[in-house]
Amino acid sequence: MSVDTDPTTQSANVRKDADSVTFEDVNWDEIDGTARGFTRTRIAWYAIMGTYLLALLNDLFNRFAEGAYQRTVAFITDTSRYQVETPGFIPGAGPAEYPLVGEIGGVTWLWSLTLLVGVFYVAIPLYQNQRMTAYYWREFKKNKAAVISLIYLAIIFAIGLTVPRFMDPPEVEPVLAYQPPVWGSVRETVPIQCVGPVSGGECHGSWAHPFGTTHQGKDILISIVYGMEISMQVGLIGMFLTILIATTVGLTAAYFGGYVDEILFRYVDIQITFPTFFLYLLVVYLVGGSLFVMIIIFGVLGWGGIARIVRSEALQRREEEYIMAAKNAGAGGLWTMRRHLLPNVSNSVITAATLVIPGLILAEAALAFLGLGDPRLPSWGETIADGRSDLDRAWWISTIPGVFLFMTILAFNFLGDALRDALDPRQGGGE
Amino acid sequence: MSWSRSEPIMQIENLEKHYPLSGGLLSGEVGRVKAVDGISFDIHEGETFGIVGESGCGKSTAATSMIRLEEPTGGQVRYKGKDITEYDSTELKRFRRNVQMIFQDPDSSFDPRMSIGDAVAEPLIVQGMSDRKKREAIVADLLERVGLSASDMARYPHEFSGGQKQRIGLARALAVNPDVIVADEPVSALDVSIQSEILQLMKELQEAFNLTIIVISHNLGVIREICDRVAVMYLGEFVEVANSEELFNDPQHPYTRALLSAIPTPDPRERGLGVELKGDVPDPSAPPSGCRFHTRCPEVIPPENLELSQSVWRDVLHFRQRVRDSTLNLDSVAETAAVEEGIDTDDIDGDISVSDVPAETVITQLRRENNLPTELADSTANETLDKAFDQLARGDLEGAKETLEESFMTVCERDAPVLTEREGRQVSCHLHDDVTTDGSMLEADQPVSD
Repeated sequence: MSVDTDPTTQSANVRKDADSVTFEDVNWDEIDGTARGFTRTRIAWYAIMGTYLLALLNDLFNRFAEGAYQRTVAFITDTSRYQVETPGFIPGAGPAEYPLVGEIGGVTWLWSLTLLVGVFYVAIPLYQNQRMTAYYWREFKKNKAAVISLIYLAIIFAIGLTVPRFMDPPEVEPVLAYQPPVWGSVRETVPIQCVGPVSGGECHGSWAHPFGTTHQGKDILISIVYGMEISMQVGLIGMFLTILIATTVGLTAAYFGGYVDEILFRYVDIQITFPTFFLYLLVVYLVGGSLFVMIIIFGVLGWGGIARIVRSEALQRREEEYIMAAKNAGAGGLWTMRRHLLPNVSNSVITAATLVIPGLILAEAALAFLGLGDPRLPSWGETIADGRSDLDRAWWISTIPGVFLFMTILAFNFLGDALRDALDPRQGGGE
Repeated sequence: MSWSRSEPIMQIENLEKHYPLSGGLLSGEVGRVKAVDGISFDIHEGETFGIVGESGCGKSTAATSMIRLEEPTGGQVRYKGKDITEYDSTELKRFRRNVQMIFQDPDSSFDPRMSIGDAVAEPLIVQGMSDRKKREAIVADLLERVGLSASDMARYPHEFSGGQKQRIGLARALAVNPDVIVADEPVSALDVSIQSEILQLMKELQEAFNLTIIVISHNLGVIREICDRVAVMYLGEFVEVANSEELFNDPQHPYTRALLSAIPTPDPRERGLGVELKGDVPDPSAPPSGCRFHTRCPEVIPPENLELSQSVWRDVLHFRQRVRDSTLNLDSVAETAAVEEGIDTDDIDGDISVSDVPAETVITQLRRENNLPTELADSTANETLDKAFDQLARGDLEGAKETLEESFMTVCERDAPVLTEREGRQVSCHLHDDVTTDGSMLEADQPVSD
């Protein structure tokens, strides 16, 4: 075999001199004696997750359990108050206040978890394995549309994540209603008061409101910037929940099989028949529209189909000899699922994930358009809905957020395509 | 450790692996596939032990269940004196350092998403070696020892040929410095030219690290090249265990003889003289009674009162088998007979049945189809056959079945032979039940008489 004799053996010898451990020298008893070392990243991850969980529990306790706790204490210490007046759900004192960030709502809790997981399980591994990242990047950048999409999405993500932190949300100012975008104009009679220059009976747009305003006088640019974060939140948190549950359930069922498989997937069968849309309608009817409820319902109930894909794919992989080889190495279920099954079903998972994100963003926009979202949230769907009755006079109100929605969804689709190609090492001769 | 080097490093006793067959309305157990049904052997340190057999005889299952990659359903496996079937998960994980396996298919035994370096390092990580630099040094060294280069670490399995992958498989197995390596068809997926390279490498590594190797193969050439001792497996059981040289020079079991004669020889004058095995390996969920090989054995022992040549006796047995399984379709025999004899069948309504054709014609056709002459050497056999043919010609399949069962029952079918030790080798065959101490053997294709 010609490949066997290789000029690099020389460099390998140099390396051997530096650190000449061979497999016969390993003292396994010594290794059994030493505790498992953790990398710094791992320690940081545990620390951050620990803090996160403590803060979350504190918040939950403050919101829901504090009253109950006081009652329980009173109940135990003072038996005369045996009759607890209101049984059942007792609201707590309210959300906890944290330094710097103040109150943290449900969506923010989920959003920060999603971002943390993204940093520790996507960004840091990419940074640590620069050679691998470079390889994937070379593969990825073959697809020009995907590169443009990635840049576009990165900008949307960055703006959505930062700008709303120091910019006030759009305000209702009826006097400034129907301002045209900076490059457009509208008949002078449409806006109550034209901010830009007026010439020849036409009101022109101005840089005060580059994308114009809605019928309530809300600035569309600000709405769109806020909508960026909302769309990213819906898409990424929903995707995170969906993929997390779907892969866990799918891989567990495929790896363990038998009753585990049977129970999990009979449940999936039931869940898939469950109409999530009507559940959401019911919740809207009971407590009003809310982004948190929307994300939770679609994230926690929408993973059945993907779990099935993951399971069927993993069932095939399970029969491969490398699973037996891992067992032969002494690996347990968790290792095999994470190191072998998961990477080998990642094609399907990434494809599914990139389809889930635009699906969720579209669903959010559709519900908001139908007036089933939270009307206070300046999401793209809400803004599109705002302009729906003014299409003949003020086209820009619905159109501009519509263009952003369209581009974002298209970009996610391109991205998914390119990722699927780039992540498969069997394509092309990678060195 | 209570184990001393003079004792076998591994002792396998009555190892069983049965798979339940589920079926029916409530998915209850309707049967068991006896893939491995009670095999026993000892292996000493540094030895190479081979298990050979046809596809489907259970040899791969034997390999995986003897090291608990699949849980055996019965029996004991002792490694250095300790019963590994009683190990808990922690002990089992440590045991993996002592016994490693090489897999059959180099294409599927490597995770396509894992670089070769990671794949070879996997046993090290799993076993708790957290020092990354140390792991890399070990992997680099291993890859070079199996004939690749350290720079191959970053490459992925699809970039290697089958032979190279099998070398990497060896490196992976060696990573935890095991004492025993179980190689399941290590070269069967490779080109012939690569096969000997890999076998040579295995030999070298065995010498260098005093490895004990168990080789599973259907290829007798491979077994002959590297094994010290060989077990021949048929339908979940060992039929013969002997030193490699003795087994190949002087096979004792008819099945071994059949396997050996199936090895192609380059000498054109020796072609086609082998013992031919007819039929497939029987269904392991319903193994034949008595000796499991008797349905295909070219040397079945006839009942004591019969004097038939082996080939005729074999034909009689085949005929009886067809009657028993009801694979003999009397109506189609009758139809063929009618056509052969030129009997006019136009006036018969519908399909021809046995009753439509004269008995003698049917009998002639039955004899012809089953290769049975009109006159056998033995009168008892003749009578029985005539009676059975008469019954068949009358359409009485059940009666014929009984007649044949009664007079052609052989010891091979009635009693299961046991693997008995004789002169340092073990054979499981009734042919050797009454062998005289001088070792004279009954040869094939001679009239067998008691």
